[in-house]
Amino acid sequence: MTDRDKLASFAEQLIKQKRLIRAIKNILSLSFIALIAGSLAALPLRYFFGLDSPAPLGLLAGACLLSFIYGFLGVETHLSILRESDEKMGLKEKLSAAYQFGQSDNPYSTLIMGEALRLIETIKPGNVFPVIFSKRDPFIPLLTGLCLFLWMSSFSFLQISDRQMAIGDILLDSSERIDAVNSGEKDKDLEELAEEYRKLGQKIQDRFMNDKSIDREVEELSLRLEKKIEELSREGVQKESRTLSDEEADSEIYQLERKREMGDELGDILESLMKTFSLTPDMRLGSSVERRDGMSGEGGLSEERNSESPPGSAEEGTPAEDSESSDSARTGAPDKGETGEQGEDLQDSDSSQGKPGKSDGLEKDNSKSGNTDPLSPFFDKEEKISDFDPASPPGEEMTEDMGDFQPFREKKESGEFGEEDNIRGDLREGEQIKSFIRALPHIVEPTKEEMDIIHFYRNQLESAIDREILPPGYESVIRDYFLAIGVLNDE
Amino acid sequence: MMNETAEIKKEDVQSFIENFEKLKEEISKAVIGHSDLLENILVCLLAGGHALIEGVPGLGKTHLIKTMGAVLGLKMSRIQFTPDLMPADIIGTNVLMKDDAGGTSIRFSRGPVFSQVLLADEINRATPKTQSALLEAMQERQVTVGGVSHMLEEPFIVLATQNPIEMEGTYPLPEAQLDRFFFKLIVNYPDSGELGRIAELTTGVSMPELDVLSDMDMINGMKKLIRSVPVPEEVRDYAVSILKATHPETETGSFSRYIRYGASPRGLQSMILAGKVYALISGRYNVSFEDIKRAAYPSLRHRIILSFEGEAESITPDSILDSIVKAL
Repeated sequence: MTDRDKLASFAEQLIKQKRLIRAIKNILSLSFIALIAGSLAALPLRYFFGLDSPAPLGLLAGACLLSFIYGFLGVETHLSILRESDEKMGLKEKLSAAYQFGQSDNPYSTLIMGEALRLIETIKPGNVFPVIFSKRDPFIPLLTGLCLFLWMSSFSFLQISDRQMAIGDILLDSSERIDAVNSGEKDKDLEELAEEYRKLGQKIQDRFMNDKSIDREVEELSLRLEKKIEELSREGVQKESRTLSDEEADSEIYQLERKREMGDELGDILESLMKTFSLTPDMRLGSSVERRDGMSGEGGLSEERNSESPPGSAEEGTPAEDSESSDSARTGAPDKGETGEQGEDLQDSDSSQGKPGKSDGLEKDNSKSGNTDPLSPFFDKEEKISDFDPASPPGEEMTEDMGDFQPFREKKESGEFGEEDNIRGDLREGEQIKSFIRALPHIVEPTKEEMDIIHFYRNQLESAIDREILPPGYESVIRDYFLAIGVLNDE
Repeated sequence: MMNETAEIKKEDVQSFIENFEKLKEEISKAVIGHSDLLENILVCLLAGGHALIEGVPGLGKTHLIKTMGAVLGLKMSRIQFTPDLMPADIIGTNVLMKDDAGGTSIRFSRGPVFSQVLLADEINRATPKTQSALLEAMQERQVTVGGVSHMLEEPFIVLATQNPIEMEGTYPLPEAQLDRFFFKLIVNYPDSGELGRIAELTTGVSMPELDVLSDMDMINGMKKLIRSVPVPEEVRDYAVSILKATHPETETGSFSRYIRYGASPRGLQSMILAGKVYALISGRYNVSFEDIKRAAYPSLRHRIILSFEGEAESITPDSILDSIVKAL
C-alpha cells in the first residue's frame, strides 16, 4: 500500500463517518419536528376529525427513516472529504495538499506526504466528524412517548356529552335489534353489520367524537344496512320468477316471507336511525340510484330518469321538501315533484295517474302486479297501498265482481232502494299504514296545467258517481269531500 | 545549492526558517517595533519583489531599510527623490572620458540603481518621468542606456517610501508604476512600549552594533526554496476569487461601486508568491487559505483604484479587501 493509498483509505473512513453522522443528524432533526407536529395534530385529527388510523404516525416514521437513508447518500470524494477535514481540524490544507501533491514530482512531495501520514495516525474519523447531540435530542424519547400515547391510547381529553352517550345507546340498541332479526338466519353480512354498530356505539361512548364524524360513520353503516335490505328484497324477486313445484313453492314462499319480514324489521331499524341522525331520504336515494344504474327490468330506474337528475341533487333535497312530496303523494294529488314522469303517464295510461306514495315514476308499468318496488325495504306495505288505486276510476276494476252488486244497481235504477238496503259500517279510525316515501331528488316543473288536472279528476269523479252504486247518503259525503278539496263546484 | 527538481529536505526548510528568524532578530536590534513590516519586507526580498512603504514622516522607514541593507550584507544605495531629479540621476548616463593616452571614449557611468537594495526615499516627490526611470529596473532587472542594456545584480529590491499626507509638490505614482511593486506596506505609529524603547535606544550614547548575517548566495538559495512550494487547487482558486472580486464588474459585494479599476494578474502572482513564503516561514510545505488571506492586503491594496464615490466616502482599499475576504 502506497502512502497515497493510506491517505485514500483514511478518506474512506472519513466519508463513512460523515455519512453516518449526517444520517443520525437527519433522523434526529426530522424526528424532533415530526414528533412535535404529530403530537400537535393528534388531538384535532383524532377527536375532531375522527381519524382513528395511526397512518399519520406511520407516515412520520417513514419520513424519518427516509431521511436517515438519505443521510448515507452523498457525493463526497477523497479530496473533498480531506479538504473538509483540513477545515474542521485546522490543518491548513495539509491533508488535501498531500493528496494532490503526495505522489507528484514536486520537491516537497515527500515532506508533505510524510507530514500528512503522521497526522492521520493521530486523527480519528470520530474526532473529525463527532456525534454531537443538540439540546433538543433528549426530548425526542419523551416526545415519542407522548406522540404514541396521543395516537394509540383511548384516553379522551374531552368530556363525553350525554347526547353522545345516548347516540351510543341507540347504536348499541340497533346492533341488538339487528342481531335479533338475524337470530334465525345467521346472515354473515348482518352479523358484521351488527358488530359494526356495536363497535361504533362503544367507540362513541368511550371517547369524544365530533358530530360530523359520528354522522359520517353512522351514515356509512346505514348505507350498508340499506344495501343489505335491498339485497334481501332482490333475492325475493329472483326466487319469485322461478317455476317451482308446490312443495318447493311453499318453502320458497316461506323463505320469501321471511326475507320480507327481515327486510321490514331492518327497514324499521334503518328508519329509526335515519330519524335519529337526520339522514335524509335523498341521501339514501342518491346512493340507491347509483346502485340501480346497472339494473334493468323490474323496479330499475330508467337511464332517462337518471340523466334528468342533476349532479348533487341528492344534497339539494331537504327533509321538509321530502315530507311535502310524501304528503302530496299520499293524498293522491298530482304532485309537482312527481309529474315529470307522471304527466306523461296521464297521457299514456290512466291507471298510473296519481298513484300515491310509490308513484314516483319508478314503476309505471307495474301497477297491476303490486310488486312495484322489489328493492324497497317497505315492499310489503307498499303492496298493501297499491291495492288502493285512486287513479283508476272506482268501479272499473270491479267489473268481474259486478254480479254481486247487480241487484243493488237494479234497485237503485228502479228507485226501490230502501233504508234496509243500506250497508251498516262501523265508524272507527282506520288502520294507519306507515310507508316510506322516496322523494324525487329534485323538483321538476309541472308539465300540465293545474286546472286541466282538476277537470280531468272532476270528469273521472262524475262518471264514477254516475256509474257506481254508492251506499245511500254517501253521495253527499263524497261530494262534500271533493267540494272541500276544490275539485267540484257548488253548482 | 540545489536544482529545482531536486527533492527538498526537511533540513532545508528548517534552515530557511532559522535564517529568516535570525535576520529578523538582528534587524530588530536597531529597529523597534514594526515586526510585521520587517517581515513583509523580507518576504518581498525573498519573493523577488519590491515594496512601497507608506507612512508619515518620522516613523523610521528610512532607518529600517538602511538597517536591513546592512544586515543582509547586500550593496545598498539611497536616492532622495526631489522634483528636479532626472532619470539619469537614477540609472546613470554615458559620459565622454579621456584616457591616459589622450584619446576619448564614451563610458557608462552607473547610477545608484546599480545596487541590490535601492532605497527610493520619498519617491512621490519626483516627476513621473523620473519615477518611470525605475520601471525597467524593477520589472526586467536591467537598465538600458544608449541602446545598451546593463543587467542588475541579484538579488535586487527597490524599497520606496512615500508620505501620504503631503500632497503639495508631490506626484502620485502612476498606476503602471504602482503595479510594479510587489507589496505596499503601511507603517503605523508604534505603541507606547515601543515608543519608550525607541526613546531609550536613540537618545543614548551608543547604537547597537549589527552583524552581517547573510550574503547574496544565501538570499538566492532561500529564494529557490520558495517557488517550489505547492499550492493546492482550492487555495489557488481562492486567490483567483479574491482577485476577481476586486474587479468592479463582478458583483461579489456592495463594494463594487467604490472600485474604478481592480487588481491586475500581478496581484495574483504577488498573493501566491507571498503565500508561499508565509507557508515556509510557518514551517509548512504547502500554501493555505490563511497565507493567501494574509498576503491579499499588501499585495492588492495599491492595485485597487478607487472610484470617485469611493474617494468621496473615504473608503480605503483595505476596507474593500476586508469585505471581500469576509464575503468569500
